[in-house]
Amino acid sequence: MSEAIWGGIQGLISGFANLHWSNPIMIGIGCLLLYLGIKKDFEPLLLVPIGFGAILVNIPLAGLMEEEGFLRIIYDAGIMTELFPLLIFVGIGAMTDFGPLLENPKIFLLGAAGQFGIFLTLALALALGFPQRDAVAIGIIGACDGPTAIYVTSKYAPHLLGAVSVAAYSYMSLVPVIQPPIMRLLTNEEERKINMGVVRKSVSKTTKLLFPLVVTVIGGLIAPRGLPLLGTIMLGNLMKECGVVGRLTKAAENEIPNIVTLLLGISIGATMDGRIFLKPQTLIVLGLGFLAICLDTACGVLFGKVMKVLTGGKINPLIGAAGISAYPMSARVVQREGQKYNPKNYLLMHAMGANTGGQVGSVMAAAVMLSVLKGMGVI
Amino acid sequence: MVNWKLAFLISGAGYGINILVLIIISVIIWIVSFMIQKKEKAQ
Repeated sequence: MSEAIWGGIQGLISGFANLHWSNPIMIGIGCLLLYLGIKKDFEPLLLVPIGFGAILVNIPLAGLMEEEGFLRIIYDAGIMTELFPLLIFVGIGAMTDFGPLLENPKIFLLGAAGQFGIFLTLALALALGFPQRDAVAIGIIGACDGPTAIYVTSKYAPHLLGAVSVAAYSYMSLVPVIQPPIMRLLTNEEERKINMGVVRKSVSKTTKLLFPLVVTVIGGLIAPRGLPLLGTIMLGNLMKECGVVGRLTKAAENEIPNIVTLLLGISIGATMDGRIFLKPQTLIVLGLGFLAICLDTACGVLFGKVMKVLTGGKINPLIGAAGISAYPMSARVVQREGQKYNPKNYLLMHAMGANTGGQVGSVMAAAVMLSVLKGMGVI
Repeated sequence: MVNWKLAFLISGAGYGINILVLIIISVIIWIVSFMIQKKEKAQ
């Protein structure tokens, strides 16, 4: 009788008995992510499911990430197949207005400059001795674009998925904190005051319709490995611009990303098992990711300075900071910084152009990186 | 051993090609936009 009672009690405390030292730490990190999402409003749509997923997976014996565990099923269905980031991309395409970019196509170059951090961090990760596939995943944090980072990492370094996605989304939400000091450091007050005026050019519907097709065909032919990323974002945008598939566009803007974001977030959180996540390597990944985003911003602003010189002082270099892909957050940061120094300055639409350029630039950077590495036989 | 040459080759080639692709797209969009505007003005 007493043995049966003791056995029953042992069954009830087996969760505590099997707790690894890393599990409580990770539950704490999960709670921290929830705090940042709920209390500080940092990317709550992602940090809340990621944080909760991290808590779930660190409770021992629940078996949520084991064969037939519900998180494993979601993870295998959406992350391992790369389906979730691609579905998110359809939504991003449907929500993005490339109008400001098409009004001033030269701003596209800021979107290209803003991807420098990806490639330098890739080189640094290789130099630090990371395996080539891991280095690709670490470099892509610099895209400052969650779905791109998840797509590339799940393809080439799934064991880094937790670290890379947490880094990508955390740094995206910290753009208003990370970018302004770099912008101020690299520009002088006179440059920050440059008024770019109002864009008066209108873009025809034909141009807006041709844009996704041109990007898909040219980008796909040059970098076919990244066509899933390019194709889905451009499909979403074509649906928005053509105006004849309202129901599909509405689904792409709302229902699809909402459901996928929930599933994506919880399955990313599920990769944060303490035994796998708590390694010195994770800290290095987070550090390199931070460096990548700083370098992106710096390179964007410096390229903005070059464009300022080339255009005879018509470009405010601050908009270069929006060349990273954190859309539309970095454009808002540029607007705020610009107005601090010149209250009559409205940089938002120009920054939006650079920001959408960064959106395409980051996807293109991932596509180019995959194709170049494939061509070199690295992956 | 760190292969610096490979590291810089990969990043240099990648960044260079990335900029080149975006320049090509930017130029194509500019040409298309310019042609459409010209056509609209003529009409």
